[in-house]
Amino acid sequence: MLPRFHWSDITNVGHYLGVLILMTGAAMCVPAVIALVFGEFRQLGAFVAGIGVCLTIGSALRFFKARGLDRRRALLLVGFGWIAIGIVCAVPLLLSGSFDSWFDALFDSVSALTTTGVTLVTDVDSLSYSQITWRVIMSFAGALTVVVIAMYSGFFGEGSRVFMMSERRDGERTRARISETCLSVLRVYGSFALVGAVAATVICLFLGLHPVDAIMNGFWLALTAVGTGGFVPHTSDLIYYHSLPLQFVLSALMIAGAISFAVYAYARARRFGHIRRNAELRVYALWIVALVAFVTWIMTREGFFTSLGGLMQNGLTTVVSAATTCGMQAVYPEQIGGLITDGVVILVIVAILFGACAYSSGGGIKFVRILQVLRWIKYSILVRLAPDNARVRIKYEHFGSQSLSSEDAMIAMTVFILYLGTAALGSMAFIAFGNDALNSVFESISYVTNCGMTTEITQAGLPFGLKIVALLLMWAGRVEFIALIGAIVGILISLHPENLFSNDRSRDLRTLKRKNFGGTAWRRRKRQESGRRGRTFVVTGLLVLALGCLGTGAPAAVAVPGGAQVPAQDVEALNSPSPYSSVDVRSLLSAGKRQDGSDVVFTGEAVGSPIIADEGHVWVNVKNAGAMVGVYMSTELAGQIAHYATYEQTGDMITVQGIYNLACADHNGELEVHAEQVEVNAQGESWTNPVNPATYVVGIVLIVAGLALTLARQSLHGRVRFRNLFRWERN
Amino acid sequence: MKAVFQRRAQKKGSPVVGMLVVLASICAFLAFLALVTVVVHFIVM
Repeated sequence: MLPRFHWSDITNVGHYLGVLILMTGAAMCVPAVIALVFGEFRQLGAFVAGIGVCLTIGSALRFFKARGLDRRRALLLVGFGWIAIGIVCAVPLLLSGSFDSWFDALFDSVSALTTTGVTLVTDVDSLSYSQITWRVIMSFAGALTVVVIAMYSGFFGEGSRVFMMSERRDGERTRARISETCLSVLRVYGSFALVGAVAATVICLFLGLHPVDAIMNGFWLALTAVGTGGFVPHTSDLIYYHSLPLQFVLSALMIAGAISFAVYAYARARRFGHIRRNAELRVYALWIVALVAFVTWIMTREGFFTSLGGLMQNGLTTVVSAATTCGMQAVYPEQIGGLITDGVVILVIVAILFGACAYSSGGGIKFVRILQVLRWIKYSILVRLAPDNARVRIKYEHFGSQSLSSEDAMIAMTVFILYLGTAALGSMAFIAFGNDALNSVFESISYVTNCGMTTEITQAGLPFGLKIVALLLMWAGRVEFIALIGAIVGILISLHPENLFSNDRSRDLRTLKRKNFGGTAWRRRKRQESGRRGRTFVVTGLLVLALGCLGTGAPAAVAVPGGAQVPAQDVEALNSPSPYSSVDVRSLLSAGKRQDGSDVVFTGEAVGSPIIADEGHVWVNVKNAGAMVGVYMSTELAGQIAHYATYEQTGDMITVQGIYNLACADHNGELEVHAEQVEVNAQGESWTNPVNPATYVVGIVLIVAGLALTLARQSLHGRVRFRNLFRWERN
Repeated sequence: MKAVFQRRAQKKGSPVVGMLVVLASICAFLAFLALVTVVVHFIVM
């Protein structure tokens, strides 16, 4: 029997959605305080408005009565909650002025909440502290939510339930409440993030960043690495820092975020035996070791990265980032599309697809499912080989001895097939826009597994049709399809007014009565219901087909000609033996082997701050046309640059002449330019983002309205007490 | 049964120790990966 939702289900879910929206509003206070401290008054107005929206909507939704979350209602909440929360989270992003459209703001917020980490902002380096902090908080909160849902609801894994147990004072152990689970998860991931933030901050200080910059960057990187969100507030991702030690620290945090939360639960109870024997953890570790060995083998044989540092930066850390589905990149997207062989790219794709461990914030198919599928194959073979009277049982160690059931294997294979099928559909959509096939598969799998590693396709800018496809992929991948499909089917079936507004019990009684009395009336009623179901399915099918056509067929008319390749006018310049001049940085990054070791001249804006490379040399990151490249220059040359681009500050426009290195052996195989001459063409200027008073007015009005609604709700329940205003009803 | 469980629970100790052990294990695993990279590189070279 297909799930049908009634109005009571929707109002009940609405109540809990209101609670989540109120929590979102509370979380917005953190970046609001940061905006106030650093004088980012335009951003402060955006967050005040965002808090007002959350308070008003959340308080209004809490008027619906809470009746507890059963499985069907939890399905609805999990399925649609991500988009609903994404909409309110997008309010401060939209008002920040970084986006041209509301859809782009929604894309960014959903990308952060689903821990994908892809951003459509072209000038990430000029984002304010508060905006970056908000993105990082969304990513971290999304990660915690996934872990809590996985641990508590069983949506993401039926066969290996790990219950969070709490111990009462009398020694009795009971299943923990969801609030205790949330606190436990926050405590563990928060402590990892704190340790990581301290380590990253120290490294950033050694790199020469300003102390405030170092603290903020350390905090952002640590939170986003532990949550496997992968958002780095720089156009060139981790390459911006030019630091292998920093990448190692972040790799450790990524692994911490990608292993099962149950490991920490057992570690806190000091039950290391269970952890040692855990099959999923062993296979996952072995898988990463095998990947690193294989990728190192291929890269060394191909001769691209001849130094150990290059292999570690481009091989080891990239593999760890892919295998944990974090998505922090230490290689340029253009290198993935051009320099690195297809074999390595395919390995990285498989690593992303297999994903992390169950009950973690990582995405992908999850290793416990891979294990279950493999064991089911083993069971199928053994059953055929065993004598007729033999009973075959497959057991494996997953925080206790587990016996593989057909139901577990069926769910694992279902999710496996759904991931592959969705990734295939997404790949077709990307190919339909004229993109390279392998890059399209990479992008599609990266989105559906919420990894966020990108190639030239996303870097070059996504057309609107592909943005829709990418958003759907991220959403479906995060809730692992079944919850989303169940929720959508349930909603569509329930759209008939009779289904939506009828009372469950009276409807069941009427049905029972009809069946018992039998006869023509009952048969006619059955035929009518079948007809309605059939029409609902036809409408659903047509909607899906229409969306599919929109995503694959129609965009062909606006396909990017030739995909994200080097423009034709630059190809000639690239092949010319003369100094390569007046091209944008993106073409420089796509130049590949053609310009390796050659003289190049290009112009761009100095961004961020100079990063200490070694004695007497610094890295200056130069940006142009939405792409960034690292320039290695002496401190004397760098001394000419007075201004670097940050929030409300443009950087000096400089012309650099130097040697282009596709994979510099002296600098961990990085794609960079050794500058021989630097000329400052124009000085950078500071400017102030105009404050929009309307955002403050609207925000304050909405905050007052929200508080009024909360007081009104409280007064309906009896005496108004301040401590009960935002109390979460427990069922 | 309750008393046995309480005694067992008291033996657990601080959860911080467990977390530190996991953190040290992760760092050791990363070091092992770096070692694998070095070994494979030299084998191929």
